[in-house]
Amino acid sequence: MNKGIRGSVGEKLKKARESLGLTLKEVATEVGFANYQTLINIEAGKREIKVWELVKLARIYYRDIDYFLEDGRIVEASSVLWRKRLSSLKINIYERRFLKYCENYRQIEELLGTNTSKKFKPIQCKREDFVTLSFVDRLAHNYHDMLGFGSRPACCIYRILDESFGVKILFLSMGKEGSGGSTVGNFGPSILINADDAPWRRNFDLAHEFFHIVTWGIFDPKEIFDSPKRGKSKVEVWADAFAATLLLPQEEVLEGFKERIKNGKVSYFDCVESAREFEVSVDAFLWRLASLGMVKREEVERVLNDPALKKLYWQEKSGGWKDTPKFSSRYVNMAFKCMQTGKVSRGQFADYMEIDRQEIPQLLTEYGLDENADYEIELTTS
Amino acid sequence: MKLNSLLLDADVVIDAHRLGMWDKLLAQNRVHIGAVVLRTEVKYYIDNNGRRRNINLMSQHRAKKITELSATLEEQRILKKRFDAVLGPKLDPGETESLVILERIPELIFCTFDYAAIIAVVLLGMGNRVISFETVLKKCGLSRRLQRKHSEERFKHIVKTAQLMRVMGQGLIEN
Repeated sequence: MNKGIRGSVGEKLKKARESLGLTLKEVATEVGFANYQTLINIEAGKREIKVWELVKLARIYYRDIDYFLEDGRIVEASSVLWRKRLSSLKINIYERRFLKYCENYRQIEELLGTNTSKKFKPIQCKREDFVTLSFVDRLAHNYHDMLGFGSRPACCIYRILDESFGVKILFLSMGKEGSGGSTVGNFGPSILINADDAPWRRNFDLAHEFFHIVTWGIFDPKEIFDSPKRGKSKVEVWADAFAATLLLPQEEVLEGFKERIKNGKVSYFDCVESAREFEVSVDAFLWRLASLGMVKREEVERVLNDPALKKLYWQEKSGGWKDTPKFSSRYVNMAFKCMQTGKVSRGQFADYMEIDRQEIPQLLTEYGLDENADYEIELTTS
Repeated sequence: MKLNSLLLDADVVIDAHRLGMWDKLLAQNRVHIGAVVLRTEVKYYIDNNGRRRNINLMSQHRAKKITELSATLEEQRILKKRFDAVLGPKLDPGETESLVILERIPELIFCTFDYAAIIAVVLLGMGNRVISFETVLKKCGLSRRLQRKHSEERFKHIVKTAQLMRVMGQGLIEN
């Protein structure tokens, strides 16, 4: 290996490690180096790195090996807009995994000759348009109609955004350390959701992050994160309002809710039931009722603080939890098609899926696929 | 008598273990494995009951039952550059290393059932140096029916597809 390549690989390795906040010692131990001096020498370009060592390091850093091998300077990846950026070092790793997924998704699309990143055309708006909540409300209405969300948007928002509009969505298990995030890069618009959150929270987060996608570049990041009084910035309040309008269409909400009113009152159970129908949290549902003038804000606050509601709500919800797969069916199907037609190797497919190659048959079964079936059989179109 | 000097890819090593054919394969062939496959890819296989079973290739390497071969980063980089970014196969580092080794050592025969790897070997003009998993296993005495992905029939179909690509000048940059 000539010294130039050795040096550039070393430099990229160092940057990749530092961007994740990992120490030399941690990485050296994980790779199996006898001491971290070996890694220091590799990063400084003083020691030749073996391919298998680079493979191990690339996995730790969530990078494609090509990133280290290709010529040229390091191009910084797109930045992720986190809903709540925690100080945990793990956040850097979640962010890198998210960006790698976006890069992989784009690569797969390119291999199959499809480009969904251009499919999504946001409604044009400017910063000056955002003055009151009514504009946000109208914007959400327009997107609701444009995307064909129907009467129960939460049931289909994930599929419609992913399959029809090329929004790349990743569900990553982040425990209590991560929230939602979004980014727009050369791979198109992309959203990250914490898979460990409750389903209704995930739906709301998806709609909330979608607001950031459709307003990408309109707000200054400072404005998004500025939280003056109530703990949320104005932009974040708008994002919540947008999500509520998108997931809870006015007509359907009012129609269903009015049917449940008896003598000017609605039972807690009916509130919980209604929220479940729309697959949103009872909090989001009640606040939507308040914004539609059906309930006073003080009454919503009182009810939400009532332990009786919380108890009923969690009992009702806990039975219906479903795990969302990390990857969408579209992503898996497309990667599978690449593997089955020889565009990518099995090892590359396993890398796209973040699994070992030994786990491929099991993963395919989960998605209803079988690598022993002949997917190349064709029909003739007229 | 040893039949072939075989270079095996990761999937072949894993599935030979799963099918209980590994020892026979070792006994009847001179087995070579790339360093990436040996040191990073093949650690276990999953048996028919879904349990993980360890594979210790390093101990077999130390016992000189298998030969480890490797490529340099520069060789990897040069080989990758020969494939068209969109129309060429995208290989993982283990497969790429195997191709470098295959080009360097002419007496080796590559055994793989990876569609992309078979395409790559043929595109690089080494179509006569790749062999199906079924053929290797049959030479080792396996008589039962194999999965489609391991079959000679599928292998031949892929080779034919790759030959067509080669004729049409697809897949490689250097045509």
